[in-house]
Amino acid sequence: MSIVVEKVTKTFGGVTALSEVTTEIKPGIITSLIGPNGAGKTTLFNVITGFYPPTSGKVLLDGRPIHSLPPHRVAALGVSRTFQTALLFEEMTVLENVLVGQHRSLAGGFLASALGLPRIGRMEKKGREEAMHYLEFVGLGRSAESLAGSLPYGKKRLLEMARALASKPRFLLLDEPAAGLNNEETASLGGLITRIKEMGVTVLLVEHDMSLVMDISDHVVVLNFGRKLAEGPPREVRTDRQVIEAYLGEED
Amino acid sequence: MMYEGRTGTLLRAAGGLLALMLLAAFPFMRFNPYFTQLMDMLGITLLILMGLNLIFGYAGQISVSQAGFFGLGAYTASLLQVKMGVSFPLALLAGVTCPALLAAILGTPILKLKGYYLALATIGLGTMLYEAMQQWQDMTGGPIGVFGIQRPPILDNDILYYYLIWTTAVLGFLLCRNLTSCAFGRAWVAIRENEMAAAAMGVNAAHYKLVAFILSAGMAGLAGGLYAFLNRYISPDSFALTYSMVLIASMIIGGAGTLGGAVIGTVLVIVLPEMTQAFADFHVLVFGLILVVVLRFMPRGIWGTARRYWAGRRDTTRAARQRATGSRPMPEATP
Repeated sequence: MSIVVEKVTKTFGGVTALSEVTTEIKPGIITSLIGPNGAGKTTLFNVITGFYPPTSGKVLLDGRPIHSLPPHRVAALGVSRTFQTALLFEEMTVLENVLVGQHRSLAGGFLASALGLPRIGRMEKKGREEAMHYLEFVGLGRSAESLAGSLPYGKKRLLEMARALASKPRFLLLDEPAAGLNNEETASLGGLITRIKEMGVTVLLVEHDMSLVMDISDHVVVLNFGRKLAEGPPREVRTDRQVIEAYLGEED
Repeated sequence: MMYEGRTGTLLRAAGGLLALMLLAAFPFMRFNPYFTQLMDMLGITLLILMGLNLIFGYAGQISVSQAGFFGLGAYTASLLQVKMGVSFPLALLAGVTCPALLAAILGTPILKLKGYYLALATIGLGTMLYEAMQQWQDMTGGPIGVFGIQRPPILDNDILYYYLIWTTAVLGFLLCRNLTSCAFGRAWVAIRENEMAAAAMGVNAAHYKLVAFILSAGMAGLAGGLYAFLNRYISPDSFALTYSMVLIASMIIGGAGTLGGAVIGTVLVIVLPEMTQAFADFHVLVFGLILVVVLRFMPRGIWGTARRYWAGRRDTTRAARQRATGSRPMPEATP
């Protein structure tokens, strides 16, 4: 029940974004992926979720290779994600966004949908109730009928999380969820992520906000220039000499 | 949705019933034949535009080959009937199947393209079909077209044929309404809004785009078959690239991605050329002009803008009500 990244290398032309990265995302905990800008964190996200095929190496989900599957297949296996800049369906309502997250459980086959069978109507009704539940979970219950594009940025990030949760993932990958949030919003985000973990969802977090990372993570992986620099519990990583150098630069 | 809950359902049911009654009563209103012909063309064009709406309005993938599919349906149905004596229902069925099959085969590679490249590829497909009608003279009769298309005796009656067209159009409308009001339609809109995010939510974008493309081709082909048997004569002129352009322009003006937009767009396709007959061949130019004005002032088209306006008013009244009862209005910013 874990995602194993095995010697993953990803190059773009002559640029090596990831170089032989090996790590394991253990179930039931919050793992954070940190590192300076350009360290390869988002690239690793994209490799795990099927958006980029790795140049070499493997990604295994419960021992099964998933690195050559397209994104929608990876999602179907229970790996859901958010994006660095909230990618919402802006012209849809907040509720409809969450319903797309439930796509796999609500898609009822072409013929049944075309004929508008009562079964589809019942599924839709149940789906809407469930979607409301996810919206209330992230605190957006009152915005259900607003257009997603009209939400302020902080709420867009919450909506993206509700949408991802609605796909009932086993693994949730959050790409810089605190970016652009104020202190108050960041604090409540930390609580939300912890509650997601308590629901039994494994969280992989890319984040620059170090106090958030150190607060909620159970395990931290540090990347630098596409290589894994260190990993371990937050306390250990924080005092690792190499990590401090990578972040603060070497002392002369 | 413009109105929600019971009021909305009642309003929509009442509107639908009224429209159905008007359509059913039309042949008995004793309008002149010219007007009946216009109504027939309205039903046929509605089928094409509703199909275009699925692939372009909902799924967001431009297709400039709809006139070509329309023509392919018309030629398939009429040539089968004229040259081989195939019966009307089978000819019509072949008119649907042939373009749908072509879309199914070409859809996978073509729909990998996006934006301008997709537009160009579908222009190519439409042109190819048009040129086949023009150049493959042994089969199609070339620029002169196909003569002597015959309806079965029972449908050789303008009123019955009118009912056939409009029954088909209404069924097409129901099909589109059903598909767009469940997970299918949401998947299409999600792909239009952000294909990456849709894929991350488990939506197989390639599959849904292909289904929309096949449906759009099949509906255009059905319209083509109905058109051939209505007119009893077809020629390549009716299926040229400019017609595809007019269809797309009307879809945008009417409101792409809304069912009402397809209806308004259809009325524009039929009525505008009639109203601008003074401009003769320049009516496409008038279309272009209207398109520019609409895009400038109502980027969501007529129906899309109206719907947004009503939704906005609803939100405002709801907020006012909440203020009046002392509860906090929704804190969201309005766009």
